[in-house]
Amino acid sequence: MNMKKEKQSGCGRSEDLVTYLYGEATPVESSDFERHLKACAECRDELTAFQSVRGTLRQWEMETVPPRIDIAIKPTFWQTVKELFAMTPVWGKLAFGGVGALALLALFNVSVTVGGGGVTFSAGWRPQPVQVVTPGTVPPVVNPVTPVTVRTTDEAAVRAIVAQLVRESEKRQAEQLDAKLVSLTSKLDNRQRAEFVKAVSQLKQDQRLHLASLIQENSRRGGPDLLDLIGQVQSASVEVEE
Amino acid sequence: MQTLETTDMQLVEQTLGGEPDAFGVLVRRWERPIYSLAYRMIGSDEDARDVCQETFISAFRNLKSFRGESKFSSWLYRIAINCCHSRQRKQPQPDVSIDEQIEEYGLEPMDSRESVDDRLYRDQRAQLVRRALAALPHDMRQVIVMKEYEGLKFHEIAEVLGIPVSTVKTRLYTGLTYMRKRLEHVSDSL
Repeated sequence: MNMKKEKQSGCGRSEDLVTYLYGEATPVESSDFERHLKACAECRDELTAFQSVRGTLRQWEMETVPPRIDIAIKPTFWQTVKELFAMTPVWGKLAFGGVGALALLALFNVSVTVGGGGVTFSAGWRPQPVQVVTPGTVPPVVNPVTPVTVRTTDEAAVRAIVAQLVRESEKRQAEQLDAKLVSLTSKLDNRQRAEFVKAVSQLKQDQRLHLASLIQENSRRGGPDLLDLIGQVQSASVEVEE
Repeated sequence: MQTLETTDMQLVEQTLGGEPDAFGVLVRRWERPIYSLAYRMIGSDEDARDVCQETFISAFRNLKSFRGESKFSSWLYRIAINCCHSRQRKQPQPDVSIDEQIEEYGLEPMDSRESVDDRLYRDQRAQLVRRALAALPHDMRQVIVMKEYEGLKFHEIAEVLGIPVSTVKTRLYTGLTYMRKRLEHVSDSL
């Protein structure tokens, strides 16, 4: 008996037979096959036999209770992170976000500098250490354990700041010197004026007239200082008296 | 009050979206039909449980490949059928003819005078049906199981097996013909 060979009913309507048997025929198909059954004894016989087979097959009931399948599905790493994040309060999320942002910036070695040259922004995977050496100074001794490094991009800004500070310091010192000079000149003028008034008060009438003429002449020639002139007048007066 | 049940497709999408519990709902919904199919195909409770487990694990692992072009149940049945087939290939059944099986196991039912216990009698009839089905070629047996015990429509069986509906009907007709020969003695005796 070759069981692999698929069979066909004698009249060739095996497909219609099983369709009708299992109630999947349309009303039109059912009517058509029922008319065929009246004329085909073989199909009637098969239909009856198959209905019996179906009844017998139904006698095989499930002897066992179907199991309750327990499949443990472990969540993935990202699912766990997602669930933890969902359970975290708002402040925790903000803190987590801040730490994450800092970690990201540190990872990219981001550097933001505000200085004389404006705001500078730099980023890179690896820092390039550069020592700042001011001309004319001894390079600082660098600790090999914790090297002091300044990024190249910061050097210009540092130089600009130093130059600005030097300019401001020079200007401030010049102003202070000017103020001191003015003060000293003023003091000197006052002293000279006092001495002049004192000397003039000691002169006699004819000496004062002589002094006035000398001042007039001196101012015309651009001669020596007034005190010197007074000294000359006083010494001349002494000689006259003698 | 009518409640809207989440469809299989929605549960699949939820599972793919990272909700493992959604797949648990699918397991609860389909574990019984899948176990039933595996049990009718293999005839062993222990193997059917294993097949059921393998089916759902395989379905979960390959869920991304399910695109919703067919019903989820059809896709699941196809996996279960493949699991049954591979398990039976690992444990090959002796390829014996129906006549040889009749000689080996016998088709005569227990004497009704001896079957005092109705349950024992029912078990014996079930055993005969199980043997008759087990003697069928795989392709015929799976069509009969899906049609007779799982109640699938012809087009659903065709979808599960990936064959034309006409082929499903032909296999069913052939299988029933052999079952008729095998069981007519039983029916007469019962």
